[in-house]
Amino acid sequence: MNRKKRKEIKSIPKGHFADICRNFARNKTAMAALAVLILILITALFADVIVDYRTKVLAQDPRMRLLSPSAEHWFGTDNFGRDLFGRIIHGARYSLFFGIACTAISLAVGCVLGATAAYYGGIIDNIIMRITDTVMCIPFLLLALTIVAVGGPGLRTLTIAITVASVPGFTRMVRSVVLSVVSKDFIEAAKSCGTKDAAIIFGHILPNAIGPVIVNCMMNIAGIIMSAAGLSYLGMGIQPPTPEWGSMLSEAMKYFRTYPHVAVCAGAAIMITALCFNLVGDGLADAIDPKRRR
Amino acid sequence: MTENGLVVDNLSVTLKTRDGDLMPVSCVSMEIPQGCIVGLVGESGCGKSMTARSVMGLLPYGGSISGGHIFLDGTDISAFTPKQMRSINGSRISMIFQEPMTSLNPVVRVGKQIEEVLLLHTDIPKEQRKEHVLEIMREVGIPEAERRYRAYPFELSGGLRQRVMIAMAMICKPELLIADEPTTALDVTIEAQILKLMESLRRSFNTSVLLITHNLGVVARICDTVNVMYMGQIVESCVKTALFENPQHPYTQGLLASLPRLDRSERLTNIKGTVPPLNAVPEGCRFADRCPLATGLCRTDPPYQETEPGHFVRCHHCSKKEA
Repeated sequence: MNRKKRKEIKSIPKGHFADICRNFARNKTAMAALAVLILILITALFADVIVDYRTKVLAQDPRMRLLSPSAEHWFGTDNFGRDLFGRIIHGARYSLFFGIACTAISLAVGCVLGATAAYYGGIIDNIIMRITDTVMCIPFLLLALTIVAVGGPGLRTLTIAITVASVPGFTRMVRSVVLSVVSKDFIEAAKSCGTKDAAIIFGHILPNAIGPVIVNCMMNIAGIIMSAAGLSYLGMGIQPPTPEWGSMLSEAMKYFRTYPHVAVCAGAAIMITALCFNLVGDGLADAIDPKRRR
Repeated sequence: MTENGLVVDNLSVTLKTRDGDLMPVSCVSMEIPQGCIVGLVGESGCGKSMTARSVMGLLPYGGSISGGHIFLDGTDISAFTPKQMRSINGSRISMIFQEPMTSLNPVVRVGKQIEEVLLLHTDIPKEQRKEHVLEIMREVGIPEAERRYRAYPFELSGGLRQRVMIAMAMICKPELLIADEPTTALDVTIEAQILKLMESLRRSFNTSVLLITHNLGVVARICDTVNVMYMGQIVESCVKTALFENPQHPYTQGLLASLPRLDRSERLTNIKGTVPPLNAVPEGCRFADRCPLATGLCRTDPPYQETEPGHFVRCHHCSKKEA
């Protein structure tokens, strides 16, 4: 009995990370969302294998226009007779690219700025945070629209626009998280051992700040997917005929009364992806926060 | 003045705040000869920790050394640059803190945290570092050191965490260990063990210890000499036995009288009044407002003088008694 019990205890992985994984796995909603996300990610990665880009996604066929969903066309076809399923899964590439790439870039910039501001404080903090505040005064979409208007619509400008617009939020978030870690005793203890500033920031502060930052990233990806789709919907992002969910939705609106399945598919794709990122983010927040643990 | 050990000479610390400059430490002098345990006693906010922090070069934002010198083995470290300070912190002077619960990084295994100090100050190759860490862990009395090496701080008890802190502080065999209320957060049994450990480390490494505490019981147990601080000044400095047998400053007498005793049944006395805020330091003797012996003379600065060999007191009345 005793030996068995000990074995059980041994088999449970130790440590912070394993703890978080276990907590996350207990959350059924978040696990379901994660499964859907992985599915979306896989279809996006293998989109070329599943549906050929040139012949199915771009080639138009007027005879096949606006067909309802069937065995041959799972989601039906659009007003140019293109297979909607193919367009949706190819569109996932753009949305996921925006969500992940823009978040990664703005996170990197935000981490450097926020951690510097919080660690050094004083005038450096003031300069960085006042600039951040100024940029934050401009509404997110308005700022992104302005940048796109200057640079012209397209993949690159859209990426830059969204990244620039989301850096201030990250800077502020990282700063607040780092500030709460900087005041902890073990930072002072590290200083009393003669640890260098860079080692303190990367070795002691960031590992302790990473939890809330990751949660925020997941939420942010959802937001970015929606704003990228929003900008494309307004015609400021990816241009047709490239399959992008926002521009697909905008085109489909013309037929919404008679052929709603086109708009519903594009809209549902945006909604489900964003929702899944949010749910996973929520699940992570619950798993990381020790107060919400059992 | 001895060459070895730490000498604090006329040290003053200024703290810039919104309400003007404060002086939490003013003209503090003390000596910690090599291999001695020196106590620094006083109530909260009297400048004990500030004194320790200035020795470590870890003054909070806005704080700076505004006067005096700190000598470590004859070198003036009060003028060191932050980089020079970093090179001696952890290797020649190290510090342990009050809260072992929060003084360790929660996401790094304790073995790694101890090893980091070695990495910073020595060039011992990687394979031997772990051996050193395990050795010091055994030295500070951590049972099953190999297993604890891989433990996270939250898996250890308070006493064990404080032992890990001590291991971190002692691994480079520093000349001076500053212990800032090392046992305040621990229960009495663990306190006794930790004090015993510090005493044995002092013997085996010949490290001097500056022990900051407000617990006179701790002082009685392990200190060689004691400095009593009040409002940023040292008011009495003597060997331990003299402090308990013949306290001379009225503040020290008050402190000792307010300890509960089992062999007396009268009501516990206390020192009347409270410590004035630092922005309203009284003129003359800082303790005068609360002192039972205060006279008009106490409105002038009292001299800091030797009333008996090795027994220094900052009081007008004590000098009178002697004369």
